[in-house]
Order: sequence, then structure tokens, then C-alpha cells
Amino acid sequence: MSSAVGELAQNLIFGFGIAVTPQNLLFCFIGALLGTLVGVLPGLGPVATIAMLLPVTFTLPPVAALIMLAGLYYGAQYGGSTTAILVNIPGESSSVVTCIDGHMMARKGRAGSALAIAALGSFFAGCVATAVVAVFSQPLVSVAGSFQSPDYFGLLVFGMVAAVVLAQGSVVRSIAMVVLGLFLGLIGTDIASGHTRFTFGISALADGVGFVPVAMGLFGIAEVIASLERGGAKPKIIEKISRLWPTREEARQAWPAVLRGTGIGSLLGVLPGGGALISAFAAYVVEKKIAKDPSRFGQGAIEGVAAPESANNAGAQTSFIPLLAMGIPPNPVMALMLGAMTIHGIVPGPKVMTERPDLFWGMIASMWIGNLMLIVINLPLIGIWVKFLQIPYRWLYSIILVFCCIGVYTVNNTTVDVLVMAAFGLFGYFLIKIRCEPAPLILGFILGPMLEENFRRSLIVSRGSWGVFLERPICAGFLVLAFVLLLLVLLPSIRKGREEALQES
Amino acid sequence: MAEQERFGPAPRADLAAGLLFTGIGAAILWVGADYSLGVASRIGPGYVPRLLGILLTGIGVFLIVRSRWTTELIDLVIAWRPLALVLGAVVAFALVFEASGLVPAILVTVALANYAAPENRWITAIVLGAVLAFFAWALFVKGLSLPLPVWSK
Repeated sequence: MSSAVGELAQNLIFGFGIAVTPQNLLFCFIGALLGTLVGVLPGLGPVATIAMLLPVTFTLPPVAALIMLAGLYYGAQYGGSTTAILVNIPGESSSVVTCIDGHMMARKGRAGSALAIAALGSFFAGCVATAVVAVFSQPLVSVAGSFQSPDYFGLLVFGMVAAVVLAQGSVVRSIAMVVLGLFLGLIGTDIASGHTRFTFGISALADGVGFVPVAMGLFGIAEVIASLERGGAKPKIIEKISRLWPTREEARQAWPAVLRGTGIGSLLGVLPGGGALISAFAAYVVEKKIAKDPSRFGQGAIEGVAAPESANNAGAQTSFIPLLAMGIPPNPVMALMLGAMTIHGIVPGPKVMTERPDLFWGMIASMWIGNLMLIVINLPLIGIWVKFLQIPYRWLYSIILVFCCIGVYTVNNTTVDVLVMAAFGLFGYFLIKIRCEPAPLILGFILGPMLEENFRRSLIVSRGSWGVFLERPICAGFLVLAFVLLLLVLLPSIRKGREEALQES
Repeated sequence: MAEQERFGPAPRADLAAGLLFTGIGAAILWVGADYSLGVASRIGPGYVPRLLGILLTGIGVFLIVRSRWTTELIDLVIAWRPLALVLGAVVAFALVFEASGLVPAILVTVALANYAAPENRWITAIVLGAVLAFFAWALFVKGLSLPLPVWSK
């Protein structure tokens, strides 16, 4: 036991040694700064930004590149709350629930407290999540070592079901979106047989539909169109922030919520399908459920800011665990991380820890440093970000569009991807109109090939018997859990509770 | 969502989604009908698509049936102006970039996208286009030396 602790300490010291080199500190800072900016600006999310930055990372050493991209993701969680609280618009999709109580607090003259709790909660959650990643990655790598194809299959199915159940929107429609995403992921050449599938003879589709153009179309382009549609009314920014510190009473109310949010986020981040978004939702729902007086929620309850803001930061960081320990990208941002690693010839998965300890421990150490930077960037410097909020969207969207186009083009140096992005922008707008969530689709799209491969291998091992998925305890456990979750959420009484909990005034 | 009443009865969200998913599911089954299913112990390229097609069609039919009892409606208001201009701007980027390089592509894209917001005037397009073209050139071409054609004939 003590030797394990000693080893961990040694690894962390090694990691900090790498993270504090001037170059890595600089890129950690750039990531945190860009992340805050992206978080503050509505309509510009980490997926689109990381995709735009991929060409930049070609020219960087891999450690610096990943430190920067990681900082961007969890930095966006800090920035998102600022816009949610001051303008009542989620700067980041994972800050949607923060709007509800955070903005109400601001309207009641408690903006400073809300911002401070959001930032301090995020910082606490970030520190805990960094420790979670450091401590649990190693055991999970050995657990993953004992996983066989059916177990991976079960885990992936469970992750997708959990992601759908815990997110907002109709569960049945979201499941259909996952299935559609799984299908889109199969377009192109089948690895096992070499057959091309659903390409309609178009040679550009032989390698499949690219993840970056699909994600940028659905999240970048469609979001720009939807924002312009909402446009018109000028968002009202609450600029009077008062003192940036919670009162003793507020702190007393907030800290248990911060603890719960951190726990929920750390746990849900590890799930395939998890990450910042569902962590924030789940944390808010839990707070409302266990509150003595749920009617305070929506009226400026500080727990409604503390819990989701802690959870989204924790979830953002622990979602590195499935990528690093198992090679499973649990959400679109991690899929881009996978892309960034692949560009540098690093195969994400259990071997990263042993083959590239500098990358692994350097990135973990940088997360703690990044969080420290972020609290400074976000609290004392809050005034700067309020200024950024005043950039009119009618200038911003043209800039977003141009960078989306350049970003998508540079990933594979082909304008076909730009056209694919336009097509998925149209499709994404259509999905918003018929009230289908695009997030589950992209999740299915990422995990589709992995799911098919493990399904195929399982059936080879079992000589064609589907029973294999129920014979292995790990796999059967995941599948039963997934089934129970689905059953629970489809039962009318519970579904009603879930809808009420997520209702915005 | 009080706005929806103004535009008359909109189809139910479950019905619209159900029709979409049934349609795509059927298309998957139809196009994938020729792909080999293989045998269960060595599944072919058509096996998983077939499963997904059946699943998607099934969910679609379920949604169509369920729509009799659900009340959520789709949003019929289409913002044609931003839709056409934003998508047009992205497509234009691809076409102009192929033909004449990065700087003209940025200028054309900004010029088109600019009018997606009705309050923008031509001066915004010129200033934004010039600044962005310069910035993209400085960052991507000079700074990061990415192989992007800046201004080809």
C-alpha cells in the first residue's frame, strides 16, 4: 500500500516536472485562456474550437498540444458559468442548468456570490478530479486488461444508454439518434471484409464520413443558424457584480452541493458517453430531488449553481480516464483528443501510461496547474470577460464560420469535408426543429465502429452464439444495468419527475 | 413557446421524428439488402447495418404510434435567411477555395454570411473580411506554415 502511494507521489512529481517547463506552462495558460473565452462566448463551444486548433497542434510537441487542448475543455466549463449567470444564456451547453438559478441570483443582486461559488466549486472539483484521474487510471488500466470483447460491448451499450437517460430531451428519440449515429459511423469501408458500405459509389466516402466535419456541422454551423434565428432581442447583461465572495450563509449552503456535484461529475465523467454535459444535468436534478424545499430552485438557490458547475468541471477532467485507460473516447471532445494523439502517432489506451509516462503524468499535473490559473483568470479578471460578452454576435458569427471552414479543411486538406460540414449543418438545424438532440447522434457516431468491432469479435469467440453477452458476468452486468436504467426512465412516474426537474421556468 | 400558436397547428414532434427514423431505417435496409450478412460466427459487412436498420425502423414506428398521445410539437418557424446565407457561405468557401485560394474564399464567405444578420451592412463585411483574411494568412500561413494556397489563379 505505502509503496503504491510512494509510486503515485513519484509519478506526480515526475509529472509536475514536465508540466512546469516554460513551454508547457505557456500552453497550459493559452488553453485555459482560450477555454474561458470559448466558454464565455455563446455559440462557440470546445468541440468547434478544438477542431479549429487541430492544425495548430501539428506543429507542437504532443505533450504541449494535449496540455493546451485539455485546458481548453475544462477552461470552457469555467467560462460557461459567467455567461449563464450574467446573461441567462448558456455560454457552454454544460452550463444550461446554471442559467436557471445563477441568473436569478444575479437579478437579485447576488451575481458576485454566484460567480464566486461557480469558480470556487469548479476549482475544488478540478483538484479532486485531477486526483481521481491520477489515482484511478492505473487500477482501471489493469481492469481494462481483463476486459474481453463482450465486456467492451456491454460497457459501450451501457454508456450510451446512461448518456441518453441522464441528458435532456425525449429518451426514445435520443435512442433513435444514437442508432442513427451508429449507422453513420459504419459508412465507408468495412475493416473486416474490405467492402464499402453506403458510399453510393462516391470515392470520398470510402474512408467514411469524417468526425470533424460532422461534429462541426451539427454543433458549429447549425448552432450559428439557430442563434441568428433567436437573434433580434439584445441580451441584457447584468454588469453590477457586487462583491465577488459568498457570504458565510451562502458558503454553508453551497459546500455540500459542491461535494455532491464533484462526486457525481467524477463518476459520470468516467462513463463512455459521459463528460461535462450530463454531469451538470445529473447534479442539478439530484440537488432538486434531495432539497428540503425544492421550490427554492428557480428562485436563485445557490446549490443550483454550486452543484452543476462543480460537476461539469469534474466530469470534463475525469472523461480523460476512459480515453487514456481504455482507448474509448467518451464524448466528442475526447474523440478530438484521440484525433490529436493519433496525429502525433500516439495510440490512446492502456499503453499510454507505460510508453508515454511524460505525456500521461505531465497532462495530469497540468490539470491542477490549469485549474489554479483558471481561478485567477475567472475571478479577479471577471471584468475582462464581461467586456467580451459585449461583442455583438452579428460580428462574431462570421468569424466563427470562417474558422470552422479553415479548421475543417486543414484536418484532411480537402474541401469535400467543408461541403460535408455544410450538409450536417443543414441536418443539425432540421434536427433542432423537430426537437431531436444532436448530442446522442455524435456519441453513436464516435462509438459505432468500436461497437461493431467488439460485437464481431464476441461472436467469433462464441462461434455465433448471442448467449456470450449474458455468460460473462462483466458484460451481463453492464447490459442488465442498461436495461434497468431504460426501464426506470420509461416508467411514467419517474419520467415525469425527470421532466419536472429539468423544466426551465 | 407561445409563438407556435401563431403559425397554426404544427405536426407533433414524435410524428415527425418517427417518420424520419422509419424512412432512414427503411433506406438502410433497402440499400444494405445486397450486403452479405455472413454467418453468425463470422458476421459479414451487412450484419450490423441490418440490425441497426431494423432497430431504427422499429423505434420510428413506435414513435409514430406514440404520437397519438404526446403533445410536444415541432417548430415550424424556419429562419430562411440565415439558413440559406450561412450554408451558402460555407459552400462558397469550398468552391472559391478550390478555384482561387484562401484569401478570396474568406472574402466571399464573409460577404455572404454578413447578410444573414439583417442589421449588418456592407461596411461590416468589408472590415471583417479584410481583418479575417489578414489574420488567417498571418496565423495559418506565416505563423504555422500550413500548406494553404493563399491566392492562386
